Amino acid sequence: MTARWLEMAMDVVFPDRETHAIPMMDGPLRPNSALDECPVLAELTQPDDLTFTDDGALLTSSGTGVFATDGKAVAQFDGPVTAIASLAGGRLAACVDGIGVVLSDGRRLEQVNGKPLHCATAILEGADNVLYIAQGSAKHAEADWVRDLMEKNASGRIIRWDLDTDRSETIIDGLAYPYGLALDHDRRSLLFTESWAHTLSKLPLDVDPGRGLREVLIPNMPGYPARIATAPDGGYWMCLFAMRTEMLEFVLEEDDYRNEMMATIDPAYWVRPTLRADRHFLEPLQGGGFRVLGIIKPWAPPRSYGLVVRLDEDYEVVASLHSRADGRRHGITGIAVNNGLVVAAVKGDDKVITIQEEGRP
Amino acid sequence: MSVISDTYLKLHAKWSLQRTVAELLSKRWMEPAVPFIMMLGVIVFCAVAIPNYLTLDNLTDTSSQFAEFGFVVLAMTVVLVVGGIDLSVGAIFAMADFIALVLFNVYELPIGLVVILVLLSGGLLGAINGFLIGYLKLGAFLTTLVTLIIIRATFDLTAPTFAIDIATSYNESAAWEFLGEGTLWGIPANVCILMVIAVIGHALLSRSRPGWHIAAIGSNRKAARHAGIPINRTIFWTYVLSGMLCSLGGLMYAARLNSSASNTGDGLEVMALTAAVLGGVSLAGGKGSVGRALIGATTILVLINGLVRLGVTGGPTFALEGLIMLVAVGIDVKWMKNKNKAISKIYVVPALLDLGELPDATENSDSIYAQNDALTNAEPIGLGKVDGPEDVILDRQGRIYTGTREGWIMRLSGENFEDVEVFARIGGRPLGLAFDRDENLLVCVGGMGVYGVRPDGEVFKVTDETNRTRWKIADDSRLRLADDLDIAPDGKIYFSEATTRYEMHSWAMDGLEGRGNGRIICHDPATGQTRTLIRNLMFPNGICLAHDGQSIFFALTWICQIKRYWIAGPKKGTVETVIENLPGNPDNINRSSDGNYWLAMTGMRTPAYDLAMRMPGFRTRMVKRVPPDEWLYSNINNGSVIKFTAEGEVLASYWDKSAENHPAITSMREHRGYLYLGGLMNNRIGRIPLPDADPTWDSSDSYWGPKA
Repeated sequence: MTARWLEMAMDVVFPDRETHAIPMMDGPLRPNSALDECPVLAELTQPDDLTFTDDGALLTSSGTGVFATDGKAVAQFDGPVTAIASLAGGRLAACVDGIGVVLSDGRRLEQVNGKPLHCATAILEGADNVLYIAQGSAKHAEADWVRDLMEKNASGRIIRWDLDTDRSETIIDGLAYPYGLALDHDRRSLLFTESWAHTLSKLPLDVDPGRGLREVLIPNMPGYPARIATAPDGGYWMCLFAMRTEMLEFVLEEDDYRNEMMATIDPAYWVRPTLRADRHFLEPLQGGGFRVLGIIKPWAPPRSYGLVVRLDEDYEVVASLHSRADGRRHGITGIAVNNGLVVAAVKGDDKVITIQEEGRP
Repeated sequence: MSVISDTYLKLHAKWSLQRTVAELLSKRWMEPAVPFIMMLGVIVFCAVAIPNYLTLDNLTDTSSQFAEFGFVVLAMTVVLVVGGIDLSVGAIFAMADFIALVLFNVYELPIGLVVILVLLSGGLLGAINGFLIGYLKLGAFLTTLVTLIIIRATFDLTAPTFAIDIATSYNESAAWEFLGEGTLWGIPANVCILMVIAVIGHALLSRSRPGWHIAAIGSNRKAARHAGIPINRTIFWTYVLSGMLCSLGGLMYAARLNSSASNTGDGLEVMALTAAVLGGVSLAGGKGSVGRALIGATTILVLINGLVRLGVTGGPTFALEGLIMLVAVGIDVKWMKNKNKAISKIYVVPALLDLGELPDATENSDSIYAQNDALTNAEPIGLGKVDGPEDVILDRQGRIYTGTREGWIMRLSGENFEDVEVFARIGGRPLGLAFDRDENLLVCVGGMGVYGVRPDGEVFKVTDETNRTRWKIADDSRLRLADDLDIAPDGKIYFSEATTRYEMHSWAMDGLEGRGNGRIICHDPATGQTRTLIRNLMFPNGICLAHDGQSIFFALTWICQIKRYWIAGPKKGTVETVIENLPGNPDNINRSSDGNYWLAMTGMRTPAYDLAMRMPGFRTRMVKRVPPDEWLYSNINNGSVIKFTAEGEVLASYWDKSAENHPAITSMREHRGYLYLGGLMNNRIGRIPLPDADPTWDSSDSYWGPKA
């Protein structure tokens, strides 16, 4: 409550100060229905992360396995696969919740700096046989991500694993659910998204770990960013798995309500972002979401949403593809680029879709 | 939660100071009430702080001064109401005083002629202002500032030349003396004259065409011009009136003191302006009355007089006067601008509403409420041709009637109900429907009341008001949201008014509030009387007469209950609970052919909603901080229909699991083996066959017997 009053006082004294209010979805973020029109590449149950192999084949993680586009299992694990990357030499790296990082040659990384490596949300191969791994939360498994959001945790970290020396270390800690990793075009710094902070940041790789020389590139996104991929023709592709809403931000500030909700209500029926809104009768309903004359308005406050954005070299959003409240392509968690082909994993709609391919904008 | 805070929250659910304040503020009489209380405060203060203040002598003395000052404040008020300002009131006052003295003492004219000439001279000075401001359109502030200086200068130049003549004159007149010092029934004569003028002025300003023109110009000059009001002329005459009122004040002053000093009327304009604004006359124009002017005049005069008697004079008095003026103007400007905003900020007062443990209604649960597909494939009727059929009813010929968002009653007939026509245009938002004995269709119309439509389509009013609740600040005698009705065998119409605090378009706000704002009302066509039966109900919605005609069932939407009110028999007048803790918000109730009752549930409770209802503070902040489109509601995208017995046992439930065809089911009506479905925001009527129902049963027969 005190914080509220302080906030109001600050509003009066510094009316133009930087706030973390939800930014408008205008300009290049103007909503459309482009995602709903994208062709389907594969149908898989809850596809999560994507990676292209050296020879251009697409691999998708789904449940406890990794699958090819024709649905054939490439690998199976003893736990949910939370991130994958294909490495040079045809190897595959998979993050398995409950185990850690597993390479197809059998090597494993189960803990770093004395802390177990669960909830790994992204894995990326850097130069010189080094892997970078994002751990979303130190407190919850990946499946419980919504609890991590509602507890407003910032316990994630990014890990460097040198395969040559087998040395692993935390290079930055205390992150609010890092979810996506990509190499900058100069290949000398690492880009990472932080979902709960709605930011995209940059971390130089050639300084000592733990120095925290991060630079925030996008300070305030209208949604929760997930994975990000470097586009070979310049710029980046990034997906946001759900949108922030005023109600959600409000509940995140209302500690009594949120704690009571977490303690007493099934997470499926919380006021929360989700990958797929089932429109179940026990899900909370907001005024704008009333079905009027048979129609749910596209601008209804989204419980789930689909959004893929294109960033240019200066990390400015230049284009976006949406699936709005009345669409189905919601909860996009994975994005991968191979030459001119851009694909996205629509976890909320059990599909892998083609965002862009050569000869088609 | 502690016991004390729990009790507090429950009490708060019944009664709220904030709500009282909000209702008070929206009353029109609250505007002069604040200045009035302030006036009383000042008088009480002076009476206590100053010895002998309340003696007759002192009161007579003060009220004589009051008459003179009152005229000047009235003069200021009329020009403020027309949207102008008159700074020359003090100068005209002084001039009139001087002219009166000269005419009476030096020229020794008869008193009647003196009065007329003084009034004429005041009117002439006002006319100069009026001409410059009304016709030449010079700004009121500057113009009157200039006339103030000129009149003042003239007064200063001429007054000394007559000063000795006036002082040495011995002209005497009983009338003149009476004007200055006489009393009528103990009241100073000049106060009596002020009162007479005030009554006339009040009638003129608030009840006459010129008065309305003045207020109209002050409120919005452009709109007044477009309405054809002669702006220039009205403004001109307003200033003339102002001048005459000032001169009347000057005349009284002359008669009372019989002398003229160089400082007569000095600073009077600021004092009058302060008084007018303090009384609640708006500087922005258009708002003000004689009563307010006099309240302000009393406050200022008593205060300044009191200060003088307390020994405070000169500088500090002026400073205080200025300070009061500043505060009054600040309040005037800020309050007038933000009043409605402030009211709307505090109008919604959520209360604690503990709905109890949510009954399981999920698919595959063994609950009687379990979600199913019974309504998903309901046959659509009138798809895309009806906008929001809240209630549906069928006549003896099997035609469907429904009220739509446009304020129409639609009739659907033909083999497959393909003939859709507008049966009647009522306006408002038609909701509950019922046929009476004579086959008139009675309709509850949100925003209007209870109306009827004869078989030929002619619309007539049944009732639009009930008796006002005693001790309630807000007048709740008008029907705001009549929702559903049913008719007893004796012809009495029982209907629900869902809420008395919100309109049709903001009904959902009532749910956020979660208070007992609704009532059950009975209209007796035999006597034409409408009487409230039960008050403080939480959104009473559907109403249905029991099969035996002895009681009515009614649904309470927010608290998710069905209750029964006995209208006959041994339990007459008592209310009992039939079903508690429904999994959704009950809406309309209707009879079923097997002797039971259908109930529509317009929305389903969600765990997040139930939790919010238990946390009024959360909802209050939500209303303030989150845009309306994002507020939490119960899930009205899903609805269901249940059947229950008179004892409250639930027999079956019917769902549209897809929630695409029939969200927010607000009503259902059984007719000859089918169940017809309505929805407040739907674009269709649905129907499903009822294989086990009596295929000959219809509700008209059930209520009124087979047609003779």
